[in-house]
Amino acid sequence: MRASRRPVVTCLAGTAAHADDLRVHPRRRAAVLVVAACLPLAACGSRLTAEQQQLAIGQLQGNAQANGAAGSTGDSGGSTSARGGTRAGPAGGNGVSGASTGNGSPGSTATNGSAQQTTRAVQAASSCRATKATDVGVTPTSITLANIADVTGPVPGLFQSAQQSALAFSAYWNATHGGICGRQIKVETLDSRTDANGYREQMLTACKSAFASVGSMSAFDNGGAQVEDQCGIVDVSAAAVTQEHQHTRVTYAANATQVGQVSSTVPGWIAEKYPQAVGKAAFLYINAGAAAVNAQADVKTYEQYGHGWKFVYTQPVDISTFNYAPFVQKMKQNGVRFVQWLGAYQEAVRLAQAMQQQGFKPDIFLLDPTGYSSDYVQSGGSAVDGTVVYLDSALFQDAGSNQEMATYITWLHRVAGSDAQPSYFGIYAWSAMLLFAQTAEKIGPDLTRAKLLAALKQVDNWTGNGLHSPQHVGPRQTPNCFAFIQLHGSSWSRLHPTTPTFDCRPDIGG
Amino acid sequence: MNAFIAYTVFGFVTGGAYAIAASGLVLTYTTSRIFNVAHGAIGMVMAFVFWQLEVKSGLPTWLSVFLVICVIAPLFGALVERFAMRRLAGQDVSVSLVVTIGLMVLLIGVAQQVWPPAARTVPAFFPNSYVHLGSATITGDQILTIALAGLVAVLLYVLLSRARVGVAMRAVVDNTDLLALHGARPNRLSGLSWAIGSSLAALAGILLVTTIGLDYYELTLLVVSAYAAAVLGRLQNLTLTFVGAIVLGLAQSYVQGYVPLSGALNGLPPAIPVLFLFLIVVLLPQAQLRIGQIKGISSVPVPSARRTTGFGIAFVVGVGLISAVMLDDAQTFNFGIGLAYALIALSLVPLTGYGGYLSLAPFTFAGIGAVVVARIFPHGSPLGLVVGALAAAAVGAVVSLPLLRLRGLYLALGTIAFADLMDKLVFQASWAFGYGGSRPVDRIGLFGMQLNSERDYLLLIAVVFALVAAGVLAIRRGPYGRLLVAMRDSPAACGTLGLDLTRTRVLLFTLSAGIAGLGGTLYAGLRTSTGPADFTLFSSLPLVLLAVVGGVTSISGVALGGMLWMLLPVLQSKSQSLGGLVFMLIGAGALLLGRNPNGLASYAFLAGRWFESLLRRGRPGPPALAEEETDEGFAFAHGEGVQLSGSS
Repeated sequence: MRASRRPVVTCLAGTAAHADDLRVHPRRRAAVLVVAACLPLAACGSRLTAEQQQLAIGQLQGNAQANGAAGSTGDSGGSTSARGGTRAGPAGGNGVSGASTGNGSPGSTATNGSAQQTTRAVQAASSCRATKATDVGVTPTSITLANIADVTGPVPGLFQSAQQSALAFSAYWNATHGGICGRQIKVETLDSRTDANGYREQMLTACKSAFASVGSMSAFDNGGAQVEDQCGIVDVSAAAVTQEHQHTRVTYAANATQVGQVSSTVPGWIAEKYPQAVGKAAFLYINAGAAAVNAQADVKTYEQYGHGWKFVYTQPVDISTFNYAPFVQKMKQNGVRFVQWLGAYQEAVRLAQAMQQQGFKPDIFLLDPTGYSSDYVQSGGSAVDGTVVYLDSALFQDAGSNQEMATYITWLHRVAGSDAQPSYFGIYAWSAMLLFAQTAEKIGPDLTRAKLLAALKQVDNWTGNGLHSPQHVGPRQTPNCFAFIQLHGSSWSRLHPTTPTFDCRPDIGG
Repeated sequence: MNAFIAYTVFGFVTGGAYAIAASGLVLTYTTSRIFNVAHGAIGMVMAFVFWQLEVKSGLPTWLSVFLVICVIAPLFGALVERFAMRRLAGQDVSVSLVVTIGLMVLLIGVAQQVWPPAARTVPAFFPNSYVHLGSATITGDQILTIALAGLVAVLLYVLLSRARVGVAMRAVVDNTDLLALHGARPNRLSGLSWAIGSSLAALAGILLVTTIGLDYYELTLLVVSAYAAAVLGRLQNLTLTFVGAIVLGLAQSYVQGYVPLSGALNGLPPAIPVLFLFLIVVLLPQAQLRIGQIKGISSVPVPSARRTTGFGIAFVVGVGLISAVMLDDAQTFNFGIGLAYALIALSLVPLTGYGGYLSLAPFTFAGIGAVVVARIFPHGSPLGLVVGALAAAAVGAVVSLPLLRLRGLYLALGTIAFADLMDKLVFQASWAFGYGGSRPVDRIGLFGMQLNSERDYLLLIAVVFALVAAGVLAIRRGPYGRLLVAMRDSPAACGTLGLDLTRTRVLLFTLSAGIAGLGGTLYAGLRTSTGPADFTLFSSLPLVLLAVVGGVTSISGVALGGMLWMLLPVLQSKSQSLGGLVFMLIGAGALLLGRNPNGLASYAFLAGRWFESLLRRGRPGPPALAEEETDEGFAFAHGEGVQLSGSS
């Protein structure tokens, strides 16, 4: 029993405005490589099976609707979240049950697949053919990737969605692209047990057997920081949660949020939309680990930003506190009109219920992506109606127009079963795998850790092919683009921007 | 004025929750002399059962409440009494507390298996029902909680002081034999008291589930806050318990509302219950000396200096060989974690095993050592080990002073309060574990060598463990060790003989804290990163449980406990069934404590002795010289102890 280790995981993330901003369109490039891979395979007498070709072509043609990806519900395993206090993302990040009618036009991140792209992929792939082992975990026929995630522990299944995503991606990429330069991706799933000891243990294992750690997600990833720094295994995590993990020389997470760095988008847009409310702001947070640090950084940064921001009430909340009514009373006394919560969704529900009971309704009740969760909606009932969440990913309900989201959901169900739920961290784990795959293919057959590291340092404005906002992976800067969504009843709708894009503003430090 | 009324109302709501939780604790203790640490966990499981019946199965609310409170919970309580608690009658508090800790761990594990994490809600009993008092609003459910808290207190008072069966329930713990002679059935009465206690836990769980939610840990944490109320009533006065609970709730609410809090003081409101608990146990009237009796405990044999040295060298060599030949880096790291836990648990051998004082805060002292290393010697200076251990020892000495007069349960509760205070007010502070909640720690270098590899550091921990263990055994063999045992057996006799018990106890706490602190410094170095989450009260409880199950009177026992604590999550991760097996082993070990408080290790010693005697059979010559001594000062070649007569 590890009762003490229930970390809080929250996220600030940036957004990508348009896929065109990318230097290389990942989808087209992947298609080119797949097609290219088919040619030498055919020439050597091995080929994709008919089914694999069918699947590849089907994916490239954006056959999302046929795969029924719309309106998936989120993963509940991780949504109980953590209490150690981190900033990298919400725990579990559940999807939303029931597809709401989004306001967006077909997402600019959607790609239009075509047979032409398949051909280009095969042609490109033919020039990338592995012939020898080049590094740890890399053989002529396979690349072993480690995925370290919190699966067991005091919150069972906390980040299991990240592992499911990694497995789903490897199956997808192997089936549709023939692997990377002919090497099949093998994912070694390792359980960090929601424990720094567990993370270190698994990183020690990964160092010996895997080429890279990809799509990993653990609440206590500080445990493995020194190990990966020493052994040099490249770490393309879904998100790096602790500062120690973020600062290793080998970590380049798909979600590039850094502890203590704050984007101006959230305070900027809120100040525009609710100019009267920001002068009477309240910030409540779980008083544990980096959540406390990040909350204090937010308060300080918002006020430094100016534009009328003034926190009249700041309250750390102990995990053992169950009666939130005194906090609500304090907010009423202080005339609070803006309330932000940083912590697990269960505590957000408790706060929302206390506010409802006491008849206190602020102009805006703001959560980080933790709130974008079917568990939050289900648990909160009417008390959480009107909640605003800032989000750095596409919505699950966008699968009809977002090719990559559709692919992710389709393959997740294919590999992990139809009960598997897409989730916020699942998105970033998939994105991490995609980032790795595309970068590795760019490097070619002579794949080494050093080359991968050098290539990742150059990656910026990474959107995971439209899965999320642009992430400053190489520079390792907190992204600065968000969308704001609001809960009405049981469904979420876009508050700002009203199209499936993101609002981007400069960072204001932290 | 409106605000004052509001905070008062909120205080009553919080206090009502504490009162219901505390009442059940008091009932169980009054009628069985067992402080049930698992009380909150029972309430948690019953809350899940209630959800299962009302929400999942769709039974009417009244039927679900009836089934849980009047059928399932009492049946559960009776079964727990029959199979786990009955043997604990008359046992030392360390044994009974540990068994209830084991029950708590087991219940949390069972709840996680049966009801995996998911969003679950329980509808309120009186939805949309509010009463407005000034600017405060109180829900129907909250009014019900307060009302039932008072009603429960009154009913329990009537039961225990006026009703024949209640008086008989209290008599069970006073003199079971005499009660039986009067025609009563002590076992049945004991079962009844646990049944009622379990029902009260279920009532607390059901009433609070709409506020707290269906969570594995929240109710358990809430009950810890209720300890102060229970102790205020001396664990028998229900009126004082109720008043104490309400006062606690009001204090938290008023502090939250009126005291300007910032920085470290932000942790003050949630720390108020444990602060109360600490003050109450410290200010309690002096505990009476147990006079006129000697309670001897048959303990495991103590190896001689020669044997200790031999075992120590063999241990270090064995660790090195196993690591070099059989284990990879990851497994070596885990082995190191197990040994670090064993070293922290070793602090309990002199304190609990020899001295009979139960501390539930070994990880807290380990955390003090870790903080010193992380803040002052983060770059791997060996001096960090020494200073960290000394700092923990100094804190142990200071903490022991107010706790000197305490024994048994009150001492254990005092250590719980200390551990929780450290969690809430110290470890979270910026000057402790600092920015980000964790701090990096380099591994130490010795004689010009940086011990960066897992294997090197494992050997370091093994050497330190062997040396400290040898030191502990040397103390045990010496006059101080005999004094500790004598003090455990009869403080009155020691006092009569003019022995300085105060200095002995302070030294004992200091030594124990220093060992734990040393373990913490090595643990931090092994991890190369450390934070407050590593040293909470809820880290200490399972370690104490496993150390006692392994055998807190012996080095091997606590080593076994430490390794089990490391192994349990590893095995659970690899295979649910493997993890389940280990759980069962721990559960069985906890139950066996009733028969043999020396733990599982003592059975291994008995087996060893038996094997040794087999080898010696048929060898001509003089009898083998005895190489061990028992607590009673006799030398036994075959490790047979002597139970002195008497009772506490």
